[in-house]
Amino acid sequence: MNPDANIEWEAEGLLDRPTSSTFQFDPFPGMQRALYLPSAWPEKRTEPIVLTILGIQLGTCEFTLPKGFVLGQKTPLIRQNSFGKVAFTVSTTAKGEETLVKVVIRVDVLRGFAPAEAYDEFRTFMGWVDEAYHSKVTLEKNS
Amino acid sequence: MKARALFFGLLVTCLLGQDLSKLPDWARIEAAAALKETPPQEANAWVLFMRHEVAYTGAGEVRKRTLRLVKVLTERGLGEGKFRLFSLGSRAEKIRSLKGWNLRPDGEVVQLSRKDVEVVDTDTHGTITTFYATEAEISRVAIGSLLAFESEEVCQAPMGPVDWVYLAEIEPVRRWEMTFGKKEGWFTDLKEVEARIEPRHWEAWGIAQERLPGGAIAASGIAPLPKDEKAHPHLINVLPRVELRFLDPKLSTAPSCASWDSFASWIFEHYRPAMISSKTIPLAGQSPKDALRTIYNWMSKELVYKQVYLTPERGWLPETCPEVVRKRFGDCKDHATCFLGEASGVGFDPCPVLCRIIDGVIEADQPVFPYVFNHVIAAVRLKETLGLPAEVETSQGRFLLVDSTDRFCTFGFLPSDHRNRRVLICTPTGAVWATVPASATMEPGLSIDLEGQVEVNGSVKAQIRLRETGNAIHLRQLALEHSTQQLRQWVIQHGFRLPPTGTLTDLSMGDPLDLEHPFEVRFTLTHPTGSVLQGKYLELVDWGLPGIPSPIQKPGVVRKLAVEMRANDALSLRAKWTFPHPVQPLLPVVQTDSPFRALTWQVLVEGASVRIVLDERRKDVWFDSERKAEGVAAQKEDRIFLQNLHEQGLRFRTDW
Repeated sequence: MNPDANIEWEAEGLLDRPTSSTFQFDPFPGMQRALYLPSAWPEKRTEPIVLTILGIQLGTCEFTLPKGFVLGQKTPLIRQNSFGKVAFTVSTTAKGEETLVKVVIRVDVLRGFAPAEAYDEFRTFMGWVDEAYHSKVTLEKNS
Repeated sequence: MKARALFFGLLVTCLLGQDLSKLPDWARIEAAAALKETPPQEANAWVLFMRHEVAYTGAGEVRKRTLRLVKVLTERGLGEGKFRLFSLGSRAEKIRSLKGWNLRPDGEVVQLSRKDVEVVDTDTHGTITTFYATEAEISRVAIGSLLAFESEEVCQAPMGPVDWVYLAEIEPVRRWEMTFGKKEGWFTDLKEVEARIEPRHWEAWGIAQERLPGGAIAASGIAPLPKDEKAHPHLINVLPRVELRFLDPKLSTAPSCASWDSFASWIFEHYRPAMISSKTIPLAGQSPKDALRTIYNWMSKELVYKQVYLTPERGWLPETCPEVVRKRFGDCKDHATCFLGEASGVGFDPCPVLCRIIDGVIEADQPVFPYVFNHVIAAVRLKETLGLPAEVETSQGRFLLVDSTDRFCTFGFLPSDHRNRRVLICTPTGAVWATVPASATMEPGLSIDLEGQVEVNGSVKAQIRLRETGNAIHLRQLALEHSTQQLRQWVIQHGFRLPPTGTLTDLSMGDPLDLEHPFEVRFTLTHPTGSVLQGKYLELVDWGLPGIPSPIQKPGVVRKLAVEMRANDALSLRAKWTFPHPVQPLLPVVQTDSPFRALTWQVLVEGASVRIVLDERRKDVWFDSERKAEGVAAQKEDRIFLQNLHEQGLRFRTDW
């Protein structure tokens, strides 16, 4: 094993064709998250912020849009502060009669240590991370 | 498939290089026989041989010898190098010897040494017992290794010379055997001892019984536990096992398993000295019913549940009532004797009740066996009804059942999990079986009142009041036994998700030990992006909605086990959301009455506000082996319904 190489993995899955007029799904089910996200955050912090690891997580999900459906509108999420960058984007490409959809999530953790005073900025960054990991793809029936 | 065939071809070639004579005799024979057979598909390891030899030596003592031989097939099977024995400790259970061999594919043999063995305390938080585990891990295990373990134990268990052993494992078992006997000689005369062996659930697991000379029992080709199956009956009611009992008429220190009557009488007699009043709780002048209520409420307020077993017997025999009152803590047996002791002080006939909660059920055809019980509650005989829900009518009269280990259950009811379960009332004259009607138990409930505002910038703020009945989401327990910080976390994890930038403030609550009223928790939530506008649609954070259940079966895999889920609780949500401008719900009305739940959903528009009314009651679900596929399909439908509710219920069309 080469410790300098990126860790990569690939998975393929199937979803039942949606029966309702709108349908949402998680494009990255089961994906290990780049950072642990506690469910509840204290209001104040007195200890310095220390992250155990810096790194980049990049996930790509590709699928063919089912016939009779369009992608629900989704404002891209692209944010950045001193702790890192977060992006969740959805793009489409026409391939013959089919539409290919590509969803990308990317979390760059760039700062591993910060004083307690940076807590609000850290929460903001983690808020983007949380938003990206909870983002779903929406399909809507063509009216 | 080709790669797999090639792999097994290589494995066989490697095994041919293994000198089986380096293994003990019993393992060599089985390993040689297995070489002629094809390993099961999809297995990571193959248990070639498992043998239990059990002998009764008199005075309640049982000696056990266990032989195990495993072949490692894949990297995931390397964990088979671990061998674990659980022991009750003290004089009750001791390990006499433990040996291990690892015959590697390169022909080398690694033997288990002292440094490979560790003793681990198995007590969990809040529990102190004499239990420990002996863990052996043989080194240098490789794919293709043949691992043999041999252990000898001596037991003198408080519940007598009985034992049970499960056949199926997470990996397939090629050959399984159990032999038993009793020691006889110059100084022992055990002619009157009868050995009874009872195979259970074999047929349903597809196992054929082989009877061997001397009453031994064996089986071959035992299928492993299915992977990725959820919502199945507890494994105690599913897995094939053998129950072994030695009936020694001279043994008085343990209950007799000759009949349920003799078993129950022994339990009663050994609880009798503990069921005496402490005379601490003031009960003078109260009616019998009020006295029972006072005892129960006093216990709820004063006692905590704690398992402290400093001797092996304490796991099965209770503390006396006065001692429990003095110490202010105890386990289920101690709570039962405390209640029964005080109740006897005001004239009631007390009876301990053995039962099984949470982990499976006691089957109707269960032969006498002490380990099928995992809980003790109390019963008092009633000459006439007290008008309480937890009364049961039996062939031997009327009893009031009481489980005081749940501090948050109202007097007169049993905690919810007891519904429809069988209990054994132990009387001086024998056993009385009863089934707890659902009406005798508390239905847990949670009602949510929410009033929220949506701002133009997408942030939302809501004032929320939760009212909990019973142990719907364990709010009372958290409030009483943990910190406010943990209560905050719990609330957020149970239906009120917040991002890191969100806040929960103004948390207040009622008295968790006021059992006459629902427990109330109030708080305010703010979520900076709780409403998201995408084109013409506004999506609101899903606070208060019931969770989406996980799939119970891997798609494309045939279900092996029956489908069972136990859940009978009620949820009610009354929400008012106010928007900057009027909105139209995408899902104004929907309802379901499936095997899993009854749910109604309604959204009413009132100007720039909407009122949401949700009522849900989850149900106990049971699809037997014949109908398991139907159960999987019904659960999928239920999951899709809730998914749809989450996706569309809080989506609104806007004309902003």
